[in-house]
Amino acid sequence: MVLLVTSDNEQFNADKDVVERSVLIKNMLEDVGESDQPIPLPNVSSSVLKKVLEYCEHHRGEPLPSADADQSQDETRKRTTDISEWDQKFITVDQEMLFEIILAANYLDIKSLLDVGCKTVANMIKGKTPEEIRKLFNIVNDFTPEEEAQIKKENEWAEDR
Amino acid sequence: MQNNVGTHTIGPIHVLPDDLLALIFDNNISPTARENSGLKDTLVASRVCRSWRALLLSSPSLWASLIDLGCLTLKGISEVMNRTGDAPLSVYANESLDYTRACEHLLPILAQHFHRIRHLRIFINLRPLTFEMGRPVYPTIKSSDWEPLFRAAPYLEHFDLTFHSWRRRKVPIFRPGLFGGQAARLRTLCVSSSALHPLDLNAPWVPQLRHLEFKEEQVLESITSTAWLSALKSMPQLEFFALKSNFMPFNHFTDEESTFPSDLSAVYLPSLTNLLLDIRGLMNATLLLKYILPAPNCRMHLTVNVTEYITPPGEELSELQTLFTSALSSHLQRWFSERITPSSRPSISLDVDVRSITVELQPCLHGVNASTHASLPWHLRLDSGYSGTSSWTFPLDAFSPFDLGVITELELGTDSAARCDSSVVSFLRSLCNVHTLRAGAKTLDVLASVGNLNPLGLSESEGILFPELECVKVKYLIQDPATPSSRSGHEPSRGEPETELWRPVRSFLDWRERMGSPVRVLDLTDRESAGKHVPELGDSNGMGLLYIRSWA
Repeated sequence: MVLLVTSDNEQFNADKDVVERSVLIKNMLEDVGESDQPIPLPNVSSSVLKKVLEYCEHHRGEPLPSADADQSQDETRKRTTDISEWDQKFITVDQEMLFEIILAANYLDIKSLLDVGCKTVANMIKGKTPEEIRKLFNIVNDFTPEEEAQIKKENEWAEDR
Repeated sequence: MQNNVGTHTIGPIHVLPDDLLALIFDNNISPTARENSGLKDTLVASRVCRSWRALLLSSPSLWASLIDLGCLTLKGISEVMNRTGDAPLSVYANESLDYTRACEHLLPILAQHFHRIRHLRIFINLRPLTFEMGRPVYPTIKSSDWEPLFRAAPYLEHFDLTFHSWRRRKVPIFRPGLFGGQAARLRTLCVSSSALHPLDLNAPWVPQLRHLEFKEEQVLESITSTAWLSALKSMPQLEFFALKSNFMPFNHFTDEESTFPSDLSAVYLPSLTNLLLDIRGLMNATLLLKYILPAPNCRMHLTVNVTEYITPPGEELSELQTLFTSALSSHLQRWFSERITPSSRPSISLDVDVRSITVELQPCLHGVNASTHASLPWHLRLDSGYSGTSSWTFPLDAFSPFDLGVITELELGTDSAARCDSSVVSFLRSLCNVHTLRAGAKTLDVLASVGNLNPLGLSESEGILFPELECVKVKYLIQDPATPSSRSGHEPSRGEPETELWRPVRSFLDWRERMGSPVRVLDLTDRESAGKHVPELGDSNGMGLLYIRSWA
């Protein structure tokens, strides 16, 4: 078992093969060797780590993308918009948690979870208008009307097919 | 008007740093999508706010993935290329290009930027430009236009360039020396025969290939089965091999193994998990089946074309057919016994014809992407390539070595005169664990008729065909449902497609229901376009049946 300590000082015990889905933790364990010392995760809160561990537990035993995998395989994986049914349910969370999971996956270096998060956000963007995207993510439109008109004009080549 | 520079975002998305936001935009691109939605979505994203726009415009690799020659105008290509910086390029078209468009859109990119292309996926259809006095006028093809392809390609990973022409020698014929012999990252090669000189099978980039598709076009020079076997020996990492070949060097119509070239030896391909052969002539098929030894769980798609015009004078086609089925049967038996295990969960695609489990008679398909069938765990199709009216029996013996009970997915084809006789029913009954059936409406009708009329004297104790059946995928249900059929006499209930084709499906569902083995899932999404023709269906018809109209 491995002891993890979150940014809000909560402790989590988890199996080694579960936490080692995180390349960061795997490397730390390899560096320190056999030790009972807790691993501090100052960039991850307890609520987010709980979700991350749920993901790692579910995908325990699945092959990890190898470090020397072809870039083409990496691209293919990244650009497939399919998300498994379980992953979809898992990632159905509010936006705040969704972006925190993406940050945590990036920090902990869990490629597959990062993919799920990014694909989910990408799917939310797909097919929407700029205004719909602003509304969805609560983004302020900081273009002036003149700039908007200019951009629209610049993009005319894309409409002219 | 809102103009809050410095407070662009106030939602939780603002916590994401630029590199993660860029990753999301990158995920938004799907080069395999039918429509060019990646470009559209990227342009839309660039109009959301200043920070997103700045990020997108400073991401050359993202624009380098958006070069869809099927959609972009010349101006569009120029605009996108200007944003790519020095990033490796993905150049593709989701639809075929005619030669004029290829010359205008593709050749300038190859001339200037071939050294930084990472992915190339283009299908060029060399159709006539026009007709003069009823005669087709073809574009002038200059092989020299393609000289850039003979330069070194240091970034190239995926090269898919196919020419299609119905006219012999109307394609550019490549000389040896593709990529100048230098393509260290190349893993996928999909080409028509004219774009690969046989000598290039010895190139330094060949041993590193993982995926190789070769489609033979109407050219005189080609690569023989024995040459393929020899070349495959140098590709130990190959995972996918698809060979479509019309080349028939052997004037043999029997499968006497003693006539095989004596210097052949087995080719071990331990990573090969997909083998798709669409070839003419029995000997080509049996040679490759005999000597290629793939991974134990390798999927296979086999089409053997035996056309009338290769029948030797004085020989009866029916006799040849008997020889063919017998010879193929022995090779397939060996394949089955060596490759199929209960844990591999194979599925079978067969065509049920008039008399038995048979080969469906239809002209062989040209230009079909071999990978179409790769999604099936295990796929067998024998295609006589003969468009006559007779049929010949599928070698049922081939299946004898393994337990048909392991089959969980079954695809059935049929012709309009299909009927089930006792041998067919007996064979189908042995497929006792099928839970997913893919079939056309007419096949479903035949199966329902067997059940309803009981013409074969089946006793109730034998039970219903496919007792585990839960899901039916209906093929070809594409008639416009907006036109109610006046002949069907069937009153569709609310939410059902009102088509003549629907009646047999309904008949099949009723039969299953009556026998106490109802279908749970009816999938009408077989073809991409099919869903458009089926009206919105309710989630249920009141009997717990789930309709799937569109996976989207």
